[in-house]
This record gives sequence, structure tokens and C-alpha cells, in this order.
Amino acid sequence: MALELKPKKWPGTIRTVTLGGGRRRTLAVGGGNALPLHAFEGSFPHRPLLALEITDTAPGRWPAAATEPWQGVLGQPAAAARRAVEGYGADLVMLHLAGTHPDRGNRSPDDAVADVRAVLDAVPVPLIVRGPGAGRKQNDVLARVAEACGGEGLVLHSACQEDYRTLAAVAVAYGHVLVAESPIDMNIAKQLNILLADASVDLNRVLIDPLTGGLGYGLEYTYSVMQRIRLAALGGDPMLNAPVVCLAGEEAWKAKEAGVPRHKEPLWGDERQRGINWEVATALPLVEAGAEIVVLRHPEALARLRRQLDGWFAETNRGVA
Amino acid sequence: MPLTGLQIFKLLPNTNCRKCGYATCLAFAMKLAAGREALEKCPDASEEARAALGAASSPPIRGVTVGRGPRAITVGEETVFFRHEKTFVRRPGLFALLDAKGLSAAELDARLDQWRDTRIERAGETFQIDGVAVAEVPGSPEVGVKAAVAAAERGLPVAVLAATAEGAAAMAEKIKDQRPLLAPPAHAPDGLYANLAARLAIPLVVSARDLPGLAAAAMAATHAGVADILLEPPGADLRALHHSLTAIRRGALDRIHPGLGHPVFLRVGAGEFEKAVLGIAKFASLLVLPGYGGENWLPLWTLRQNIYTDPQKPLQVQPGLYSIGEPHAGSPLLVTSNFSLTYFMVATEVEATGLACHLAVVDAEGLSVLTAWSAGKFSGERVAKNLRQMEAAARVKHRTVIIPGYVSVISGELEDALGEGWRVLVGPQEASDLAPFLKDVWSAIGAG
Amino acid sequence: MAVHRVTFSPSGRSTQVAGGATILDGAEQAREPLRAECGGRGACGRCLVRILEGPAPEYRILRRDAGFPVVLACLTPVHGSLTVSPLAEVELPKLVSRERYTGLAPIEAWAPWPLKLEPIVASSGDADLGVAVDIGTTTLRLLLIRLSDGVIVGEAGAYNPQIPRGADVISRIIAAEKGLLEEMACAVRGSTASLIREAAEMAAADPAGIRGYAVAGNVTMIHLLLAADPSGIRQVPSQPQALAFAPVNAASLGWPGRQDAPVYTVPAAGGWVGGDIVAGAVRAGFSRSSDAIALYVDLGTNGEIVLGGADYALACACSAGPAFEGGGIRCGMRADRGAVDGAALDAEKEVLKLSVIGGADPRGVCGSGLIALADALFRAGWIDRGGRFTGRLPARQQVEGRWGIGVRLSHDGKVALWERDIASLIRAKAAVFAGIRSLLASLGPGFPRIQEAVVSGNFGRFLNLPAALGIGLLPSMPLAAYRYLDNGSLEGAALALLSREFLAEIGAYLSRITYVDLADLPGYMDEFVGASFLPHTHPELLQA
Repeated sequence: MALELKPKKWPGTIRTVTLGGGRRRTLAVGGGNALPLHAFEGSFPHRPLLALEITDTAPGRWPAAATEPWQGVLGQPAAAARRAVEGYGADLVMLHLAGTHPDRGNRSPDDAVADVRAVLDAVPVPLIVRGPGAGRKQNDVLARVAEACGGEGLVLHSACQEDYRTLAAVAVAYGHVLVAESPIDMNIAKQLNILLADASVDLNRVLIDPLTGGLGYGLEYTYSVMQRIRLAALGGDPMLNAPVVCLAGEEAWKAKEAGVPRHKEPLWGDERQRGINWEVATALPLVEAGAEIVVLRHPEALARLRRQLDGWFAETNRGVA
Repeated sequence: MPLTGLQIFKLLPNTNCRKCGYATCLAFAMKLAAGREALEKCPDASEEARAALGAASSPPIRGVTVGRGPRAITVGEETVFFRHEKTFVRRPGLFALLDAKGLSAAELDARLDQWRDTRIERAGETFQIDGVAVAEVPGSPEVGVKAAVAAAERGLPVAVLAATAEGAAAMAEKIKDQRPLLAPPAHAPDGLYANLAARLAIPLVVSARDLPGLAAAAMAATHAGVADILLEPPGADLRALHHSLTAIRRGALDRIHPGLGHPVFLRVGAGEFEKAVLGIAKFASLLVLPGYGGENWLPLWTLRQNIYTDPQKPLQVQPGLYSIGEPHAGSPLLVTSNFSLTYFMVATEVEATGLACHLAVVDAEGLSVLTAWSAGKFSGERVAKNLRQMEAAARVKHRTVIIPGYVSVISGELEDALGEGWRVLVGPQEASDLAPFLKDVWSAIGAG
Repeated sequence: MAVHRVTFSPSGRSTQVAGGATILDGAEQAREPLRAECGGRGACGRCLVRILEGPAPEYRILRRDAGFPVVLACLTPVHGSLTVSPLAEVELPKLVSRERYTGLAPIEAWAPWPLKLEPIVASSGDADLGVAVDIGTTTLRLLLIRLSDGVIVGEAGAYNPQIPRGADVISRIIAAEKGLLEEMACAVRGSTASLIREAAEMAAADPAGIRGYAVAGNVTMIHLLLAADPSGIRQVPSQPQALAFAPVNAASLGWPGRQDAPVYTVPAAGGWVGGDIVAGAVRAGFSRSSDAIALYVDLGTNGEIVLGGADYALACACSAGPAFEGGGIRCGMRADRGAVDGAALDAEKEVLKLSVIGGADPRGVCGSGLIALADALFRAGWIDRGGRFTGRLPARQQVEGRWGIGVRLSHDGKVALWERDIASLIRAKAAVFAGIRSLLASLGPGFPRIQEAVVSGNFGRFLNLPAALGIGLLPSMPLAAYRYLDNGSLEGAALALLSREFLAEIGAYLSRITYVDLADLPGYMDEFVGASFLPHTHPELLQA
């Protein structure tokens, strides 16, 4: 009996979004026209990007295994960014302005601008800037950063359905990419993109963050919502075909299982390796469900994913537009 | 293609006789379509209906059981490509690789005892080592036999990882009543092993260099009399493997070739953690893992748990006391339900106020506040019990709890249930009104 | 400063207020729906409460009721812990009684297929009368019908006197659980009895000639009428005492009529799909539409939906909340005088034109007005698809308060529509829309297309259909596919009274209705979130 497997063709294509710009190196993501990683039946002009997360102030709650690679540069964004790119091979960097949160230092928007500038001066790659996520402060900080760094093609993380206007306006005005974040819900992801389109944001400058549940803490919800988003996008829905970014590292290292030392749970094995595995087992399924950018914390997790994805996309360039 | 509820309904007698236990034929048909009922419950179903439903309901991927007794494991019987379409039903078996070469009898026993007894409880599931994959030791066949017997005696399902047909026969023969899985070396000649598996009536792994070859090998094994087959997909690297895994599942569901309608077997080598991750997410049904420690097993078990939960359950947040920002003993204490959207909405809005809060997420069975209250899952009693369980009183020095405006009616009951000293403040109905509410009310009452 | 507790009975709502604050302040804080339409100036008399326990300032006591002081909550300060009980039932206005039906013969006017006059009760002469009653959660309506020729001779309506015990059925069930079952039963029986007398007076007929009754209502209302314990209804799954009750003697309800005049209640299909819906669906012709698939939507506090035809039907209820009846809306009111019931927006000139019942300056917004307003604001771009005000809202139309931004409706700005009101409406309409989509989806992929839709309920014909389609309350179909049924429940009850065949048809059709609990449908929440948008998130819309 003959075996005939027909490649599956889809009407839709994921939008291509270019990060960076001006004198900065540019990277493109998206552009695929088949289910994620289905290189055997579609074309993927850009491979998924691997980012590392750095912070403006020393992070308070990272387990030891996650901070160890960053010894000496914690809370020094420029030095950390250099290490991430030059030492650890990150495609790009996410600067989390956690210290601007009212409860975590309440640093000012000017401090944030200084940090972002320092990172931009230190590394040539595109930069994701993540705000403190605290309503008004999120807007104050990111709007100032957007204004002060016009033309750098930053990725502003993030706007949500309840509060998107300010960031939509500054992203358009200063030429940045905007991350639209939704609470693990396909409909809300779509609604937010429609609202952004109505607010004159070019959807070729938007990324979806579907909100990551870490391994053991809702990963399956994110996984399925991403698969459904991707199916809709490939089916031709122009409001859901934005590339997807996932903060896998943050969610993975939040898990109790990623940090508990071996002496407390002997059956759980070595905590350092376990933490890294936790991050890999969070990130890889997300890539397989459609993440175009995964933000990681541990360089070893990045190296391991890199090894797999480089093999996968040997014939496509590393996203350089 | 599965039939829809309406299609099945048209095959039923439409007498609404209730013999099936449902009020109407349509209700029964909808359950049938969802795979939650069997046609046998309808005594009046026509031959035509039986035939149509029978064809539609035969599983596209056969089930295979390895082992006997309480720890026997059945894999396969999957019906969908994406877990959200229905659910993945059979958790893949994670087998530990046992190479008994150089192990003393005592060491062997100790290791198998440990594997048998390993149990980790997580979120309602007990993680266990599902079986042992005993490798044949070339040159010393008795070592493998001994190990296989020792594993089987402990009730653990066994996979025989053969190197030679003779070795395989020696090991499998001894424990054939325990239904071991026979896994020949990759690309072993057809026939030899198939005849052995057929003779012993045990499940067999077939492999090939490409997909058509694999499907043909499965057909050949069937013809040789093997009833239960697992497919070992070709793939030198992760990309090629992913292609095989995808093609097998798609081919099975689309019924393009009967040789593909079997569960998948995957060997994971040392340093191939990513392969195991991909295999669990993408359709592998039985994985052999090398002598890993908990740092590898725990994330894989957890991933399997995640991927194989029923996606049709409402998205729930783990009940408990959550911190928004960095609250202190004087920060407000808010109550909401554990329906995830409600939680996200409240958490987002509270975060937006810039005021740190304690958010008590009450177990309301994943229902929104109003629905939960309607169904009696958000009563004052229940909220109070939850607050006690999460020891909210130890986290705040004030005794004020803020409840959603929609359930203002429970305020009195909750106050009674919480007891002396507590007061209940009725919050706004909409999460979006939390900011002004907290600003005005919380600062005004100065509970901090 | 002293702090006192104010507890409301029977709702159980409770709060603490500073000494000197009014009882009405406490009600607002506790979210007790005590109404003060005059804005708390002591003018409207709607916030009367009975003080059951605690100190009442002598100078505020208007009268005593069974020994308990009665005061106006808005003017009465709290000087000690209080337990009070709202008296609003006394103040419920009468429904504007229009002679809508009198002179009509239901068998001729409403029969969905040819029926002959054959009342379910014996009749011998012109003095013999029958009564069709619709007991709604919000309103009671009845028709007095001459049995000899089947002509309506009188009609009457009123608000349901149980409203003070809760605006929605769940609150009523809880009130019944708290021991108020008998009280609510008496209230609705008594109120109905006076409506019967009113209708008889209008017809110059003697109520002693009444030979029987046909009553339709949701399952909870029927339980409360018959004083049957309704607590099982809100269990999951719903377990009412019965879906069909045997006829009772009118005298046992205190209703007038011949000796042994029976009261028939229309049987229900499920705990949340009552005889009112079944009667309406059969009245709309569902049981006889053999190949077309039709949709029946009853818009009220609960949106009830029936989808199907003669062979089968699916029915569900979705808790829309009280927004369609003006509840839960800051400026919401029922469709009385002063209610905004329509709106048009000239986006060019930035002018919002309102239509107000009675024509004066608006006092509030009723359900149909709310839908029309939301649609107009959305079309003009004053609110975005999420229901939030945009920069296009002109400053002179804008009001700001502690609850954020709103659009001014009255000159003084006291009547305004706030973002949160729009959010309530969006939730209500999303519940209905998602219910319809879920019912369709539960039939499986490739489900049949809806050919006809019937809208019934309190708005009935007052609903602005284009607006309802515009905001995504009802599925987008040609307007010609829609028709209104003024009051499917009442009309169905009248036909049941006058035609044995019709009543039998209801009984037979019941067995064809499959009740679906939306909570059981895995896709419902998804549909709901998708519909929580203007108009909704479905691709067919957005690619157009």
C-alpha cells in the first residue's frame, strides 16, 4: 500500500516584524507559512530568536542557579547586556525595568532612560524594554523611554486591553515595536490587536505576548492558546498573525521546583541542572507552539535551545533582515 | 471523521424514550459525539446507525498495553492532533533504562526497589517510573534475563531492548506472561522479531529508515500475527524526528495508511533531554529515558502532566493568597474567585493602582464570582473557610476583607463566619473600579 | 468617630458607616439596591425602610408598621447599629396599562397554525371567563378572556411584588431559603388577585365567572407562586421540585372564580428554561416548522434561548444580568416616564440626540435606550470596541467622577452613562450572543443556518433591532429574518387556555426540547470572552 503524505498548505502567513533599526542591527521575526517548526512543509525565512533577560536593579527573587551566570554584573544593565550578547550569544536582550516599580525601588522614568541608553550604547542588538507593569508607572516609564530612544526600534513590553492608548501612541510616534499582552486568551489577544489597529498602530509593528505559564504552572494553557492563535493566523486571520514573544525564563524560574535545593527534596535531584531543565522544558514547547522570540534567563538554557534550533533552521539566516 | 451530534441524532429513532437515561435523543447524540457515551445504551438503534457509528468510533490509533497487574500501562488511543481539540487521553509511559552490566545482584535489587518505590505527588497526580527498559548485554545474555525477571517480579512493566534475536528470545520468553514490550535493535531485519512477538503474544516495536518503510514494517508485523505494535520513528536529529512524529500522527488521524495507526516508541539517549521534551509534547507514547536523576525526571513528568490534562476544564488559578506588589501587614486584603480571567482582571487592576495588596483567591471551582455565588460556591461560609485555610489572618494586622461588589449579599454571612473582630467591606462590582475604590475607601478608613 | 453597623434584611447585606451618615449612604456602601430617584432629597419616597432593630430618631419616623418605625433612608442618620428592611414594594408603580389586547381574539390573532376554540375548562355561557397569566421576574401581566368567543375583555399588569426580595431569580431563591417563601407566594398571589379584579372591573365582568387559569412563568416564579421550595433550582445540575405541576384550585391561591376553577401552569423544559419560554416557542410556531431552523430569544434578566424546529430544539439560559432592564446601570431605570429609550448621534456635528419616554429631561436610561446609546456611541467612535471612551468624546459631553469618565445625558450631568455601565451592557449582551453561538456549536461543525429569529421579552417591540445587531447582541442576519413577539409567554398562555390542542402541543413539544447547561459546554467561556467586545471578535465580521 502506497503511503502518500501531502504537505499541509495554509492561506495565512505570519507577519514579519523588524526589530531594531537606524544605526542599530536589525533582526526580523515571523514570516512563516506553516505550523511552527514544520520546516518540512512550509518556509520560515526567519528562525526563532533567543533573548536573555537583564534587570536594572539586582533581582530580588531569582534562585541562585539563575543569578550565578550574572555574578559581577547584576544590577549593571550595560555590563550584563555585553555579557549576554558577547559572552552568551543572545540574539537580543530584554531589559526589565523592575526597579521602577513603586514597590521595588520606585526609580524614576529618567533613571529608566539612562539605563536603556546605557544598554543601547553597550550592545548593537535590538532591545526589548519591559516596564514595571504597574499601571500608570508602566506608561510613564515606557513612554519616556520611547520618546528618548526614538528611532532605535525598541520592543516595548507591554500594552494590555485595559490600558493600551498611551503606549500605542508613543510606539507609533517614535517608531517602536509594541508587545500586546493578553491573559492566556485568544479572544482577548485578538481584541487587543483590533484595538491597536483602530488606534492606528501598524500591525507589522506588533508582537503578541500570550502570557506565559511556566512548566507545572499553566504551561499547558499557554501552549494551547498559542496553538489556537497560530491556527487562526495561518487560517488567514489578520488580527492574530503577529509573531509571538514568551517570557519563558521568568516563568520557569518562578516555579518552586526550579529553586528548591536538593537537600530539601532529594528525589528532585541537582537543583542547578533542574532549574535549567525547567527553563528548557518551558521554552521548547512554547517554540513548538509558535513562539518567535523566547526570553530566557540562563545562558545554558539558551545554548541548549540554540543547538536544537540551529540544526532546525540551518538553511535560514539568524533573522538578520 | 467523527460524526457531529446532529448527524448522530438523525441516525437515532427520535422517540425520546429515555431508555438511554437522557431526556431526549438529541441530548444522547451530543454525548455520543463527545465520546462520553456508548451507542449500546440505545436499545432501539438501527443497524445502519450501529454501522455508521462503529466506523466513526473505531480509534485511529490502537491502544497497546505493556505489563500486567496494577502497574500495567496502556498507551495510544489518541484521537486528536492538538490537545485543545478534545484532549490527549493516554499519558505516555516513561521507562527507565536499565543496563545491568557489571551490577551485582544486590545492586540490581536495590536499584529496582528504588525505581518501584519512587513516588512524587504533584497537583493530584502521583509521578512514578512507569516501567523498566532492560537492555540486552551482548555476550552475557543471562545478565539481561536476570534483570528482566527481577523487574517483572516487582510488577514493573518491562521493555526488552534487544541486541540479538537470541538474547531477545531469552529475555522475553521468561517473562512473556507479564506482557513485555519487545524492542529490536534499530533497523533489524523484518520477520525475525515479529515471529517471536507473535509466538509470545507480546507487543512489538517496529522501525525503518523512512516513513513508508515504517508503515510497511507495521503491516508486515500485523501479517506475521503481532497484535500490538509500536512505531519507532526515523529521525537522526530533532528536526527529522519532529517531522516523523508529526507525519505519523497526521497520517493515523487521516487514516491514510493502516500501518501508521499505532502508538510511538522513542529512545532518548544521555544528553538528549530536549528530545524527550519534544517527544512528550509531540505524540510519543512510550519513552525510554537513560539513567537520569530527578533533575531530569521531574520536569519531564511535569510536562507530561501539563500536556495531558483535560483542556476543557475551565482555566483555573491555584487557590491561595497571592501578593500583588509587595504587600505588608497593613495592605488591603481582597477576595476573588479562582476563575483565571477573573483573577487576571483583578490582579491587573490592583497592580495598576500601584497599591500593594493581598489577593485571596478562593476555590470557586473555576467559576466567575457571580456564577460561583449562584451555584453556592462563593458563600460566606466557603469564603471564610478558604481564608482560614490560607491563613490570611497571619498576613495582615487589620481585620478587614474586601469582597466583590457582585456578592455584596454575603457580607453579613461572611462576617459571622469569620467571627469577632472582622469586618467585611463591599468592593466595586467591576475590577476596573478598584483603583478609585482603593484610593478613596482604603485611605479613608485607614485600616493600614 | 463612632462607627455603626447597618444590616439590610432580608438581603443580609451589611456595612459599617460613620455615625451621622444616612441609612441610604449605608445602602450604597453595602450595594443594597435601595432606590432614591430624587437623589436623596426626601422627595420621591422610594427609599422607605422599616427599622427592625436599633435606634430611630423620633423626628424622622413617618409612621409605624406592625410596630416598626418607617423612615426615609435618605434623610435618616445612623446613631447606632441598625437592622432595616426596605419597603419598596409598597412604592412600586403600576405599569402603564394600555388597552393593547382588549377586543382581540387570540385564536385568530396569534395561532401559529389553525386552531379551533376549545377551552381547557368547561364553559357554558357569556359570563364564563378564563384568565391567562404571565408571571415574569419583573412584571406580571394577565388577560381576562371570554370563553364563549375567545375574545379578550380585560387586561392588567404590574411589577412583580417580589422585587424587593431581589431583582433576579437567584436572589429570590436565596430569599426563599431564608424563610421568605410564604411571604413571596402571598405577595404574588395577592398582587395577581388584585390585577384580576382590576381587569374584571375594566371589562365590567364578574370575576366569579372565571372558570380557570393558564399561567406561564419561569420555573422559579412558578415555584414561588405555588409555594414550592425553589432551592434545588440553583443547584448544579438544577433540581426543581417539578417541571410540571398538577393544576391547583384557584381558591387555594386566593384567586376568584367558580368553585374548583383550576389553575394550570405551563410545564417547563428544565430548571432554567421555564413554561414561559416553551409557551413562547410553540406560540412562535417552532413545533410546526419542519425544516427551517429558528431562533427564539427572550431578553430579560435571564436571556433564554431556544434553537431548533419541529424535530428537535435546544434550549439554554444565560445569566445576562439585569442590564437589559436598566439594572446594574448607575443611571438605569425601567422603561417608565423619563427613561431614555433611544439615541442617535450625529458624529459630524458631535451632537447626541436622545429620545425620552414622556419627552422631558431624562431621569435615567432603560434597557432599549442603553442598547441604542451604546450602538450610537460606538458608531461615532466615542467609545472603542472594548467599550472605553476615546479621545473623540467631546469635552462638553464628558462628565468625570470618582468612577471615571461618562457621557452626559441630562443637562445637569446627573444622568450620565459611565464606562462601567457600558461594561455591564457588554457583559449582558455577550452572555446572550455567546449562548446562541454555543447552542449552534453544540450541534457540531457545519451546523445549519438560522433562517428566522423571534425576539420576545420585556423590550419586545421596543428593541432597536439595528442597534442590537450593531453591538453584537443578536447575530448578524438580514433584518427581515427577525420578528418580534410582544410577550410570547402571555400569548402562549392565552392560546393554551383557549385550545386543548395547543396545550397538548406544548406537552408534546417539551419532549423534543433538549436543555443544555451552558456551563457544561466547554466552548461557552471562550464564546463569552469573544463576544465581550463591540460587536464581537468573530472573523466573519472583522474581515468584512
